[in-house]
Amino acid sequence: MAREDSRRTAEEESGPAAGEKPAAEEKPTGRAPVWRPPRGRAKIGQAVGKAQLPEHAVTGIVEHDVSFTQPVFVDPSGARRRRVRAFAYAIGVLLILALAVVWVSQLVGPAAPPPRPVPSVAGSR
Amino acid sequence: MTIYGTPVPAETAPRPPRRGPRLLFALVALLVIGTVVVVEVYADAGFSPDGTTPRSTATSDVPTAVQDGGPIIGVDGGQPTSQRMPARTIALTFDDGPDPTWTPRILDVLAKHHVPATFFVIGSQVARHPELARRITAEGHEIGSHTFTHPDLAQLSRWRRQLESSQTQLAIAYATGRETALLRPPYSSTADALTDDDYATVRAVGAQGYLTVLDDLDSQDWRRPGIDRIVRNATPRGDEGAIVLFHDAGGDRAQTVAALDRLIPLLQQRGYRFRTVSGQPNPAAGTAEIWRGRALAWTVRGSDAVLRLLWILLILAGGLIVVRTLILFVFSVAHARRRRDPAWSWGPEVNDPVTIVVPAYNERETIVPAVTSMTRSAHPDVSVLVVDDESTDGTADAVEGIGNVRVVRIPSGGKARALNAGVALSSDDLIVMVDADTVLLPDSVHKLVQPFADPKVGAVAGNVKVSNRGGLLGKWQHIEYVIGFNLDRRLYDTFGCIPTVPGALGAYRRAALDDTRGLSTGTLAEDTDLTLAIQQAGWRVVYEENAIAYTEAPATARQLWRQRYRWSYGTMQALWKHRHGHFGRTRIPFIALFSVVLPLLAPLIDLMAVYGLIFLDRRITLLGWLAMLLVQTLTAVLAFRLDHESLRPLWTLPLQQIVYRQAMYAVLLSSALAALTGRRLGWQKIRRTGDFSAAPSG
Repeated sequence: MAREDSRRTAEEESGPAAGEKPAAEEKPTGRAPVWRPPRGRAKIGQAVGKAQLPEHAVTGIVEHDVSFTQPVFVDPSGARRRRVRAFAYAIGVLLILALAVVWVSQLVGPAAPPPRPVPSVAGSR
Repeated sequence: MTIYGTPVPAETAPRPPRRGPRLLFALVALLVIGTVVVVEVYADAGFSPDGTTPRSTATSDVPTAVQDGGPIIGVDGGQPTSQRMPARTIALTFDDGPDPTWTPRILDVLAKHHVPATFFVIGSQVARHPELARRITAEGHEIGSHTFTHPDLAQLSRWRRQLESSQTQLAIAYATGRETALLRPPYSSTADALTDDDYATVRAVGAQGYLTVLDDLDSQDWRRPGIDRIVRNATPRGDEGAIVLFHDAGGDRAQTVAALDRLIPLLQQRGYRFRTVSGQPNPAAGTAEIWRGRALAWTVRGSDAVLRLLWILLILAGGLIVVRTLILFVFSVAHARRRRDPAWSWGPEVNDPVTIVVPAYNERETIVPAVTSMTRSAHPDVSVLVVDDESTDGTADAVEGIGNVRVVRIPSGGKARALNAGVALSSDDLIVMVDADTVLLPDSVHKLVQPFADPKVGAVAGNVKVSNRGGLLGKWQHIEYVIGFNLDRRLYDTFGCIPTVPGALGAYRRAALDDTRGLSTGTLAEDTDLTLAIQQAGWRVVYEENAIAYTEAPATARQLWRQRYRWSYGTMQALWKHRHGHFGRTRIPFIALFSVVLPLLAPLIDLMAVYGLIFLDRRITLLGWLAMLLVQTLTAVLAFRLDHESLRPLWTLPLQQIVYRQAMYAVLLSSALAALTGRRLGWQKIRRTGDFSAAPSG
């Protein structure tokens, strides 16, 4: 996170920026290491200027907040995912059982009628 | 839109989701839905041939003894035996029930006159209204089978006939705890009217062990001929006994009820007795049959409930779509009118210096035309700042040397951080953020910053168009963009709740960015996140339709899938993140309703259209679907007219309804699932071709 109001000069920079950067976020790119302790005055936080700077450009050091914001919805412990999955499995098993009961109960064989009622009616051919 | 590889610590790198369980769940879901559909269609007689097909009138197979015999026909050792009611004895019979409206009223009349009757019930109706069947037997009436779905039994195969009578038996067993040996085939009448086909049915039913019960007198009450006529039809001549046919379902049976109330006393005066067909109570059913019947009834009612829920949701979705279309039309036209009024202005002309921040990650193909177009901006003081996010293809080298462009290389950190670095490295109060794949018109920047004449405006959304409209995919996205920017965004602008200032073209006031502490890395849609945060902080966000940018849309289905996945997942994240506060409570539900809930319900329209086309009235279904298409087309035409776009790409709209829309549902559903499970997502950059053919050159 970068803010204009937090510009500081190199002299005020107390801790090296490298300390704030989680090591896991470094990518080997084959360039000169950016994360050496600040020595010169031209270091601009994480950024290294290459083109010549117009006169109005910022020349001080810019605080670059590298704290890693936890992404919304992401559950790093995986507990929610496991719960959802267990729930889904339970529902799935229930549905499979229900389906089995339905199909088996209907297709297991015909339900026969009872013996025909004694012809108490007056029969006539 | 630019997409960045986000740094992911190795130990929590996203595992590819296992396909096995997912396939299994899909299979189970398919089986459940298949069962529901089969049960619904079966129980509503969708598989049952009705008696309207012309049938042979030949009677050569019917023995004379049967034709001249009584209406109760059994088969004993292959030999038919006929019986009829004794003299001065009436069996009232009611077909097609039970019906929740008319069966109770008929039972009331029968109870009033203390006469028993026989009800030939439809099994599926018994499964749906077991309490009515229970009342029939509890009040001393007899219950018989009229099959499960009222098919013409003569046209059914042997196993289907078996299924029809067996399932009716089970439904009766569940509802009443009893069973029946009586069966009246649908579309049957009197014994002397039996054709060869009918007689074959009688023999088949007899072979199953049932007594076929036809009738002597047909009251013809289903024609509703008037009470007098029904009474006359149902009155036997002389002292003959008779089985009389009535109906207790299938429409308005008020005449039947009234005719019974008159007929019963009339016949009682003539010395007639009333009894059930067999004269005996239904025998008790076995436990196994009762349990199988319970499973059957629950299946039918469960399927009914599922289908009813789907219809309710469909009506809800349809209603929402209609409401949405109406308010879109009204408010976007009003918005366009207001803006086109010659008296309209944001205030005094804004000529403050502007920095264009261009985040870039492997954009070598597109960044040169993009940055060149920015340097030609007509605004008095524009500087371009390219923030190269550790590209590996020499993106930064490609733009170095273009006049008035600063290039800054920063270590890889994602788009949000690149933008934050760009904001920090500029000193102007107005910042325009443009993607590296986006070409601006010379007046875009100047027009985009004019709303800042209003000191309450914190951010301005531009009008983004698709530059590569060659293929079908490009045309579809073009249509989508034009509708999204000219209708939806105008509507959101009117209600003061623009959900997204597009990353492709947006302007920000530095104070607004300071209030939100810049862009955050917490969501995949950093533009939506920032827009909502700025509005949460109390700033106004507006839409300036005259500031136009041409962006390169994904050219392949795979890239499009990834982009939309990120958008819909990111939008959900951003909406969830900003749900608190005044803005969150009042505006986010509105945005969520139209951008998440409605699109999640919309697939029902297609599902039910397919269901309707196969099983329901085809003409009505097709008309409904075409009406939806017409509404969509009108919406699109309006959007294109508002934006002065050529209507030609609209010929692809009907195709879009069949392929594209369903793919977008799948994206939304998939990202909603990812949000639910909390899975970590990687996000990928789309491949660039550098096609700006639709953008004005120069």
